[in-house]
Amino acid sequence: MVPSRGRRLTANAVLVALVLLVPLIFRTKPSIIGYLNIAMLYALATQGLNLLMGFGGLVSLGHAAFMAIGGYTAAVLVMTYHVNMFLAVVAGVAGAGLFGLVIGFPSLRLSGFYLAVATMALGSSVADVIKRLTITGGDYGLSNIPSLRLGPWKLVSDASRYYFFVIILALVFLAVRNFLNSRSGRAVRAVHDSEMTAAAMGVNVAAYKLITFIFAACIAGLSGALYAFTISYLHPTNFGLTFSIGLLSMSIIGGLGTIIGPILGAVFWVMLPLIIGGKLTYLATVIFGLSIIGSVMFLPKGLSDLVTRIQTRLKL
Amino acid sequence: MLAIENLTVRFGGVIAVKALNLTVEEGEIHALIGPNGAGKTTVFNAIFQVVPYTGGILFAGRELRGLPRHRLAEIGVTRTFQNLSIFPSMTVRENILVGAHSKTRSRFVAELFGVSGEPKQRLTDTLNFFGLSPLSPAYAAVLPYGTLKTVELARAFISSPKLILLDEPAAGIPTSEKGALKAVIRKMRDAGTTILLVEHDMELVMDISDSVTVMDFGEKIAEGTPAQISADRRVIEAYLGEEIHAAS
Repeated sequence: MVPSRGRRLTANAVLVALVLLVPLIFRTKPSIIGYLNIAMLYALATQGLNLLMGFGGLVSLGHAAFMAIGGYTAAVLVMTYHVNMFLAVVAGVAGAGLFGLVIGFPSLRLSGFYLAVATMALGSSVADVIKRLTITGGDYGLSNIPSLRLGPWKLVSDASRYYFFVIILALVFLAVRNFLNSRSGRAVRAVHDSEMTAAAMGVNVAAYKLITFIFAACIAGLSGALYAFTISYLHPTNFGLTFSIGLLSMSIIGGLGTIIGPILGAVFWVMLPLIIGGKLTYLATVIFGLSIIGSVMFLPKGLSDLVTRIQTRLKL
Repeated sequence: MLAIENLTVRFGGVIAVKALNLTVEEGEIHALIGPNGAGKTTVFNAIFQVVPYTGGILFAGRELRGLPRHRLAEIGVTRTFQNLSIFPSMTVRENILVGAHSKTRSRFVAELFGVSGEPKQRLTDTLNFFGLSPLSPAYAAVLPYGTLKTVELARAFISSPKLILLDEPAAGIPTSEKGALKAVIRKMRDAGTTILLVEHDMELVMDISDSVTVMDFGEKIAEGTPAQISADRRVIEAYLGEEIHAAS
């Protein structure tokens, strides 16, 4: 049977309904919603990394630094300078984007391992700088960051944040998808496939590499800013190399170069320790390791390959 | 259209192209031929500012030296590649649209909202010109080599360039499809595009070229019409006695 429009629409409707019903389904277990919220913020940051690595063919081992800059900029602006939260988030996104431009410059000269090392060094230095500044709370971290609010409404409950993040995530993912199917997005993908050919077609390779870095950094900055107002606590060590590699793992497990991969990877990353639970939580790390190996060997497009297979099986 | 003056390209101690003079007239199909290693592709790379060179390369009276590589498409020079360089992750439509990059502009915000629009007329015309319309949504990675060669031509042609450099368009093309390839190259010329062609397929070169330049060991050894070239003793020697027949 040929995939039909009707079946696909039905499947999408069911999926949307499920996503919207999650807070009701887990009404008695609000912590699950809290974890899903974190997963969505990670998915956001991972989408930025995916744009960079999956579609742009550039490597970043310092992606957590963009989240840190977004988060700290927004939090400090609100706490120290009493800036409106919305503007603070915008500033966080812009700050991360600016740093994306800085970290993007090595990509004009370096690629592969060398770019990985350069971004790793720049990325790790951000956490160190934050640790030594007073305005960021230094090694004590920043605590009592005000809770997320949307105009007059405070988003205190996990469920309200859940819906807010679902909307943000959907908007950002749609924007990324639209971008990739536009002239600029095609230029970015062309640079990934062959720089020389892209240039011969009139694509300014250097400019598009920088655009990719800036865009990826902005998305991670948004994730960081929302994270700060969700967790209410920031510490530089949360955004070091370990977390950068965590984001990388999420994008690989989810499926590099796919739009839904980052969601799958981030949910897997956050929820796995919970599902295993109890005394076996430490096994989660082992399972992550095996998942990455398994995904590289059997699912080149990560968990998104499973989704594609289910779609084929259900003829959607 | 294109004037190459005293072009020399050195790779370390090796002189790949030596004091080459070459003029491509507007509206012609000009073939650049010679044995492997004669320096033909290096000439292309010099034009595209990929390799350092001495001498002058003038396109429509404008010196190309120092021009950023991506600006060539904008002023009207595009190319195809020797071993096919298609974007494998893209569809035929997307591949060809990348070729239109220099003729379109980006509005970032519109792109995020998916309302930036595409050069639809240009795309439709190009797809029809090359007979690729039915394949437009197909992913390049699944298509046969010969078809991808045509996609590459379409991608170089969609920006309505004044000059196209074709690097071995017939390589890997089955004999049965050569007729169609000749026809499409002629059609591109007749649409007003000047063509500079590097090719090993002598039958094709002699059949479609208006003029031919022959290189050997980096130097020009002959130039003229296909008939003149196939009668030239030095050319025959360079090809180790290989016979060259001009199509009658």
